[in-house]
Amino acid sequence: MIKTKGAIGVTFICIILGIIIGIQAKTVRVQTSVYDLKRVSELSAELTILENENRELKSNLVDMQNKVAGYEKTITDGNDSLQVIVKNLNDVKIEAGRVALTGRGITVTLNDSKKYGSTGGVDQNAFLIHAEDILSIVNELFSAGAEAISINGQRLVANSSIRCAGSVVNVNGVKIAAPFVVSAIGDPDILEAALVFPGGVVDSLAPWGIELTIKKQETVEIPAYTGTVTFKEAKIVGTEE
Amino acid sequence: MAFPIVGIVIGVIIGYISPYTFPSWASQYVAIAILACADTVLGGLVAIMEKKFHMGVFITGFFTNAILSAALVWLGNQLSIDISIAAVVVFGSRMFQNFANIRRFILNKHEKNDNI
Repeated sequence: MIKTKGAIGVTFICIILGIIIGIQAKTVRVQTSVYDLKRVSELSAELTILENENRELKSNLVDMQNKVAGYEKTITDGNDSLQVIVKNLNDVKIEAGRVALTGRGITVTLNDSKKYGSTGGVDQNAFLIHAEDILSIVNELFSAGAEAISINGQRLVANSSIRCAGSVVNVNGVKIAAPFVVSAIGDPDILEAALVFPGGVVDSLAPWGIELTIKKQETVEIPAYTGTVTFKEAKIVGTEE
Repeated sequence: MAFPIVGIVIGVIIGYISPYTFPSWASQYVAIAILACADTVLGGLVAIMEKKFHMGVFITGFFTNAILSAALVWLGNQLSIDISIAAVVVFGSRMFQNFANIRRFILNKHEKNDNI
């Protein structure tokens, strides 16, 4: 008697338990598909599309800039006053970092320390290059009279930023990773001296084993700034309405 | 012995094809409640075999264990303690114990004296 009654009860309860398990399994599956699978796969697909778009637009931009340069040339042929204007324009472009420059200068190559991960007891982050290290090098170079600086091909202009972005460094909004190559146009001797004086930037990085090589060069090429700067809020003083 | 298994299978099918899902905040409580329920069911089977089964105890145990374990997990969330680990350990070990009892009972059906 107990056995039959018990079997019926247990079976009934088992059906309830099974229903709960079934619904729960479905809930968990829906959740994972919503929060994990969708996010990872769809976002990475989106990212790839945007990256391709970005690359296309950049090559378009270079084409357009070349075209503009061509037009400037044809217009100014044989016209003195226009030539003066274009010369002024070029000066402004150089100041704004809109043209590639070449000249004497130095390149500083930085790489993460080989001690990273091998010595215990110390904060391992000290063996990596940080945005602040690059920033202080750039600061020293500019104050020593560097005329143009680029980091891994990213031209530094008035609106440039150098930021830590996790394991990489963000320069002009573009992610770059070690090894970092800082190129600067200016008097090579002065620029080098600005980095290697006692207690200077090179001295402060040396104890951590960060690899830093300075090369004086006869020709350093600095690419043009390819980003855009829009002035939405800023107006020239005296012209605001 | 076959009925509970058939019941579970039928239940899972019904639950899976039903249009309902639990709200996302509830699924962690449901998960632990399922563990408690499964423990109760195994306990009930053992009781049937030992002829100590009592329907009232079984039914109330099924629901109160589920509610209590979910409530404990909720309390743990409020206090930022992961009580669900404790529930998993306790119910898990009890389920294994009950299952071992069932297994022994079935194996020893015809040799009542051998109770190893």
